[in-house]
Amino acid sequence: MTTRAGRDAFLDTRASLFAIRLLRREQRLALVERPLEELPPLLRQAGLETLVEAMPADTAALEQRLASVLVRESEQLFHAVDAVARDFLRHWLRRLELINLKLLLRARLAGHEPVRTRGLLLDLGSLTTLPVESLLQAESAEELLRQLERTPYATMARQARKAYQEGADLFAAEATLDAHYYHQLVHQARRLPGRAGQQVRNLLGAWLDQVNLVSLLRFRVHYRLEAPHAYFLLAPGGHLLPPSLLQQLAQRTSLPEMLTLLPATLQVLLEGADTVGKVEQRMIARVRRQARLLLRRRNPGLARAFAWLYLREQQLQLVHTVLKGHLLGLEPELIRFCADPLANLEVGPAEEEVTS
Amino acid sequence: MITPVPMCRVTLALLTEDLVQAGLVLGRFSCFAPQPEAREKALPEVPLADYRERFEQARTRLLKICRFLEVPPEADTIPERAPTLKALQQLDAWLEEIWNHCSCCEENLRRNQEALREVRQLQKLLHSYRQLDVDLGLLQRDLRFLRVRLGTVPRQNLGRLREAVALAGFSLTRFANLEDRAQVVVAGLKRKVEQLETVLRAADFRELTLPEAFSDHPAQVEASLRERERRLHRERQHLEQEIRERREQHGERLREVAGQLTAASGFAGFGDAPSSRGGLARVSGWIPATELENLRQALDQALPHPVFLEARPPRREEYSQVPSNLRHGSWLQPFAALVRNYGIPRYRELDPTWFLAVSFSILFGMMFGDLGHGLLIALGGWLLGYRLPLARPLLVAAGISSMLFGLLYGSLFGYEGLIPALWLSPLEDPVRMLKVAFAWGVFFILLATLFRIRNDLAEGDWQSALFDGHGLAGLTLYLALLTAGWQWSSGGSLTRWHLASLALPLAAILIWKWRRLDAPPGERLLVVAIEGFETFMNYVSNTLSFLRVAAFGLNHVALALAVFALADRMQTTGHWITVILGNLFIVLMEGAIVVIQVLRLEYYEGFSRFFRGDGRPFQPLRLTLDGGRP
Repeated sequence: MTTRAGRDAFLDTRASLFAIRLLRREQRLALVERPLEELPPLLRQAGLETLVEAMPADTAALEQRLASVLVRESEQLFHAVDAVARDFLRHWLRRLELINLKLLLRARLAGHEPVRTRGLLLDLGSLTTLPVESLLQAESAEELLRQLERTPYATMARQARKAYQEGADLFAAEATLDAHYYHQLVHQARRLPGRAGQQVRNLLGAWLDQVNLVSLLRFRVHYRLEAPHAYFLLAPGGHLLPPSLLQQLAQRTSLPEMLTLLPATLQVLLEGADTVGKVEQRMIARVRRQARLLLRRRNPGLARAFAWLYLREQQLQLVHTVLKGHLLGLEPELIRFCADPLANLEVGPAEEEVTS
Repeated sequence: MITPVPMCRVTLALLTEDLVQAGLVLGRFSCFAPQPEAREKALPEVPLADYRERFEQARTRLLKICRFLEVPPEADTIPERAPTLKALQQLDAWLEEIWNHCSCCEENLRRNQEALREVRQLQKLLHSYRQLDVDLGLLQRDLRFLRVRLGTVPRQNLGRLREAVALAGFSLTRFANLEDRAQVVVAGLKRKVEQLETVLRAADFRELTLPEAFSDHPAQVEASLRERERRLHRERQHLEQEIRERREQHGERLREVAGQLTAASGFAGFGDAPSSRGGLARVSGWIPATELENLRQALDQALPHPVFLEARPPRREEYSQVPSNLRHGSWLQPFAALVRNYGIPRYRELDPTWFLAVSFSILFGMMFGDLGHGLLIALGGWLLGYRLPLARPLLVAAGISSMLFGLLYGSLFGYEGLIPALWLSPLEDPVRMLKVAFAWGVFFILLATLFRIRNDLAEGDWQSALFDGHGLAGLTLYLALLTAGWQWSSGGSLTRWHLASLALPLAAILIWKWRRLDAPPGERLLVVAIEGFETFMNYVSNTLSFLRVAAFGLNHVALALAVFALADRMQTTGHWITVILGNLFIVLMEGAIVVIQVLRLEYYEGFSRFFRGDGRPFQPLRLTLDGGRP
């Protein structure tokens, strides 16, 4: 039987080995700048040999290949953690399944054929909990939600069904799914014990701050949702944005008004950000910085593993953007334009220490 | 069979319109495993995609209907002709109509269930209000400035909803809980009610509609709720009656449709195997060589147009694709399951089921030799076989072997000396037991290595057969090791001949590994050195591992002695109870441990030497509605 110390050492080693696959800033920039034929060494460095051996034929295949990499690596992490941590990490990755679920909902409403929808779904291997085939064959949104009520998404499905039935509104159903996801995620994170749990919650809190602020801006400024509704859809458990502040923010209707209410740290960070997109980029950079710091060697294995998972997802997203650009035959300038925010996000001085 | 059944690669060239019927014929034939091929320029199309899609849709609808109406999705008879696309479309249209009714009915059932739940909540609410002594009429009146809403929300949404409605100036009060929902009153200024509606919807707020006389006449209210509950129960009964009627009305037709769809399922089972161009199609697959003529006849008889069948034995480069068709008698099935647990033999590999059956029985008997215990295991296996048929042969074989070794050891329910030992009692001469176990290990490893050489040669990999650590070079090294060890233990010294017989095969193994490895020289050197050392050590450690056979044989006797020592401290009744319970303990606990040890020896010391186990199982096309590839 594996002892806790043994498991921690294993997890720590695993996180260190995985950290080597994270590209440094200059490598990320090179990934964006270089032509396709010069990318293999960088892809190898990022642990993506499968892409070097055979480049996917289309963007859907590329997306699937990257998702499979993430699933495979996550499974390796799961072996090294206990049940509580595994539940948390699994729930974190459930966002990928949520993408599938939303796609299924949209496809059902748009009346797309199952064959067409099946091609767009990500195969999540062992992380799959949705009965994809039977959901694909559902002939109405009600039937799909009825089937969902027999899955781990039952509670989400019941609420989404209510939101859908009363407004036949896809946004309401999807927002309800998201809100429920965040709620569960925070609940799982609270169960993590000790210093590792605290550090995981800190990083998660920073991420939820980003999610909440950006969502609130979108809900209020772009979608014009009512303040109570916008507030209700936010995630609980942010770090710098407590509920009382979010309530105040929810009552504002413009970006500058909201920025003035933010704590000083965030005001400095977001100074001059005049669009929701810019706010999002800077908030992501803040989370990344925190994740990089957490990945340092002296932190507990679980916190490092979670930080790695976050950074890995970001990096796979960068690879996806760059390769998709090449697959679609986009001009280098356009690829750079799309991928630069992901590659060039402001990073702290800790970055080089972590991966070196 | 000690190797998988010889297979033939067959390619059928036929008219595209005959593909569906060919699927039916091959499905009935149950010996054809389709094999997808790379699409050639000559045949670039996927034939009958419409048919496949329509079949899948109809199949799913049929299964959904059958699940809802509780009709088994089984056909009474499968027709001789598979349905045409037009017929399939008609079937699907009918199924769609039926499913729409069923889906509607299912939705109504669900709503009925929700409504019933609401009534029960109201009944609880009434009970709560009686205790609170609140004027319920107030909640229903259309007040001039105030808006009051009464309803339930999921308990997990309560906190956030309370904060959210506060932003619109509303207050939320919980007054009762019911399962996972909280009963709440939301009250606030009427002019801000618009802000309230959207958030209540998002929070899954369900309004509780109070009966009119809720406040004034509680008895009437209760009666009214009971009446509503009765109405809902009646509605539910109607719905259930409707389901029964539909079942009776459509049951026969559904079975007929199931038959039609089962006939079409053969074509769907082809998967990606067929390719076509216009009216010509081709489909390839594997069949047992002995079935070739039967297949030809079946196709000629059942297809309306000519079909060209080309058959050939598999090529060497195709061996990895050829499915392994293994045939075992019923008594070998549990051993075959243990082999499958490790892997499927490659097409040209030896099927180790026989080897496992024989060696498992012998090893178990040696480690657990007792006439009485063996009899219990054999009898237990025989009786258990009525519930777990797969376990019977395994337990009976293990029991008989245990009985035979029990006779050799002279052991009966742990008593040594009650029956004469035909060979020796393990505790009499433990060293001899260890020697026998060692010899058995040597024989086992030599046999496994010979199997490996045979497998490599059968696959045409003669280099591996000659130079691999598990090949001829490894075998020679092992024999040299044994000879040197014998010489050394007999007090002699190692001669040049001994050293040369060790060095030469080891050098051959190392050179072969060096040549095979594609890495920088430093890494190559390191890997070759470590792997060479590992090969050497593996032979030694694997052989010594067999000493456990003797150790468990001794352990069995020692455990029985411990039971008797305990029993001897008791009076007559206690003595016999201890003896009986002790024997049961030995049979169950030690028996289970010995099984694990035997499997460990089989898998690690045996299978890992010669059995790659990465073959493909033979899964012939079958007529089925379960959706997966057969």
